[in-house]
Amino acid sequence: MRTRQRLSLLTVAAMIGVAGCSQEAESPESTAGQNVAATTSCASSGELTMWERSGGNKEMVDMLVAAWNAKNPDCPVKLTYIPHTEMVGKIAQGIASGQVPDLMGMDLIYAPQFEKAGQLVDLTDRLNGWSELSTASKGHMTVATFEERLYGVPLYADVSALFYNKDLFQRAGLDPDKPPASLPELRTYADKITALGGDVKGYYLPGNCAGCNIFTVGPLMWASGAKIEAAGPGDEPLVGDGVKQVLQFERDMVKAGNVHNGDRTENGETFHLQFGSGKVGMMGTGNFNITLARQQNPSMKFGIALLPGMTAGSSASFIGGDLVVVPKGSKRVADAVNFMKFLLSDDVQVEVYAKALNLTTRSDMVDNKYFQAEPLVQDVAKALTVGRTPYTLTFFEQINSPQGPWLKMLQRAYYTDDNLDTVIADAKTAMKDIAAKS
Amino acid sequence: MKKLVAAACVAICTVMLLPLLYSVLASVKPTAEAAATPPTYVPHGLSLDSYRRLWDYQEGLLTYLGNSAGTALLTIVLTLLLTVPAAYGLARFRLPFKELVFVVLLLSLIVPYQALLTPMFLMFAKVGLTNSLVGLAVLHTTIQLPFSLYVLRNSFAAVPRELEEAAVMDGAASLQTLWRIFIPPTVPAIVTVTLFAFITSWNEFLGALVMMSSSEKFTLPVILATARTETSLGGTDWGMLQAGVTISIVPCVLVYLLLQRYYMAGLMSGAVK
Repeated sequence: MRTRQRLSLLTVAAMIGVAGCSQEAESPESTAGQNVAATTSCASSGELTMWERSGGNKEMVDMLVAAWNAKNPDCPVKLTYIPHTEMVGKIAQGIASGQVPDLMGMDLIYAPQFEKAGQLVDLTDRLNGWSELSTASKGHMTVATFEERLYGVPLYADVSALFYNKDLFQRAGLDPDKPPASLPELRTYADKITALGGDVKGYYLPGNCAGCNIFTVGPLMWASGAKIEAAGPGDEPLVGDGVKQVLQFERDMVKAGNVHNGDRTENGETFHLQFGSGKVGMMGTGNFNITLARQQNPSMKFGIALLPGMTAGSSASFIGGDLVVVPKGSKRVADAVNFMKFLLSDDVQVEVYAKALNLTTRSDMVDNKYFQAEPLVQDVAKALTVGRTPYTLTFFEQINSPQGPWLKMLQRAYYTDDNLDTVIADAKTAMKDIAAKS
Repeated sequence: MKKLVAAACVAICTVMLLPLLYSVLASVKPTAEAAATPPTYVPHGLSLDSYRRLWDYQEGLLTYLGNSAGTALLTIVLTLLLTVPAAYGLARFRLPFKELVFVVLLLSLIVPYQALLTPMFLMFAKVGLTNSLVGLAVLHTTIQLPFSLYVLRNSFAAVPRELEEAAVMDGAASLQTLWRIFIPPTVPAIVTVTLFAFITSWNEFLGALVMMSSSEKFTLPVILATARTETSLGGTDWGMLQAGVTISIVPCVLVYLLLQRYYMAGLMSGAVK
């Protein structure tokens, strides 16, 4: 059995399986003291080790850790970034050998897999009664919960929204204070901006990036009443007219020349740099692009709206980001929980998250002096109210994989003339097959 | 005809060198230009900002260079300590089934080391060798052993038997014979093994990632992989990454240029046997 498990480590899913079977008993400290009230300070002394993936919101995590370390000099968090493509396997391997950090940041989308495999410390009793949790990001809390047990809290949030270039709007004769409220309107606006000619295109579509598309095109489908992923075995994916309508919309955008030809090869490496180039009229992207676009193009004026659906007034957003969780085997569970309490405290929400113009992870903290001085952040924060996070144990295989059915479906829809019903049916079959094995 | 061959050589060299040249050029572009799409091939301005960012990246470039160099040197030492006597024994001693033993040792070449990583990691964890540069050097040595044994065993076997017999006649013990008779003519092979051990260890990524769990112990390839996805949504700081690539190439090129004379002779002596 062990040999078979080890060999199967070649796949992420199997890695998780091995870790689940091989982990040692939970350390006494992790279960002791569950009734001790959490504070925002360290209960003991000595370095707390923390892993976080690269490719996330590094600046934000660095600031949070620095704030904790300033408050707790005897108990600093020692942060190690792990290459994000290797993070899942690294965690699974660490848990299997008992060599785990005291706490870790985890891409929220992978949390259900680890929770199901029993590799994270159940924090339900320790976090019981925290008032901060009632306003914590719903997307995060959904994936941090498995079978009504809680395994983590939000570390930071990324939400998607529609960014639009006000300078190009003006040049195209559009009202810069009136972003598109529906996809047909978005199409009309894009045509006008593309007609400006030169390097300018009305819209942006990342053609080879599964993650970028679930982040920005997925919400267009949700806002049009569709459902995307299969939650588990027997669940039906790609349900609703919105799927076909959005695919048709994107195909038409490509055919109309509203996107750059180079977009087709975008695999996520330069996705975040596109809007700041000033050559794109509108694109779905994330809150992180506010600061970035300003750095790239200080003179560019831009606005932010919610990602619309087919009918006016409908909107949606993808809530992404990271959770803080405690791996099984952690020797400092109580202090990891204190770190969570610290992250959710009013002071940190305002003076660290908001001050750095990052989204607060509690919705009741959005109304603060820093956001009031920065309307764009207020605009993007609205996405938290319409956002959602997909919940499935096979998110990577169904959606995020470069070879997965989601990207395959999108590329056939965007760049071929294949019948859309066939394209959707093929993807549906593949997603159901994947979900059936979860 | 000569001109044709020369032209072909220049063309091949150009194809091989252009990516390296592009990497170096990208590393000295200003930050905004390094991230521009579409990319520029020739920098419009020069800047060392990418190197500055890399210098201060996480624990600092010097830490990672030191870890990589230390691991590579220890790998070389361990590889030579193990393979020189082993190859000598297999080449010149009368041992039962020594050909079979040699073949069995070489068989490990056909097993991808990635498949062995997890069991090795669990084993190393039990003896406290994980998150340790010594443990990583042991792992790199393990990867390097079959090839090194192959090269050295064949080189030792090519040393004329008469020389060995003369040494024995003069009363030389086994180790003396190894040191005075076998080592001098097989220096090229030893250099080849050294070179391969260095490059294997210097460039190895997956084992280092699996074995190490704190950033102050990471080697250069691991930190470059981390830097590859430095910005949100998997975006890349191309300038810093190319600066890292440029720096990581330098020791390999230097070692190769210094030892290439021996390397060619050593590889041939192993191959023709």
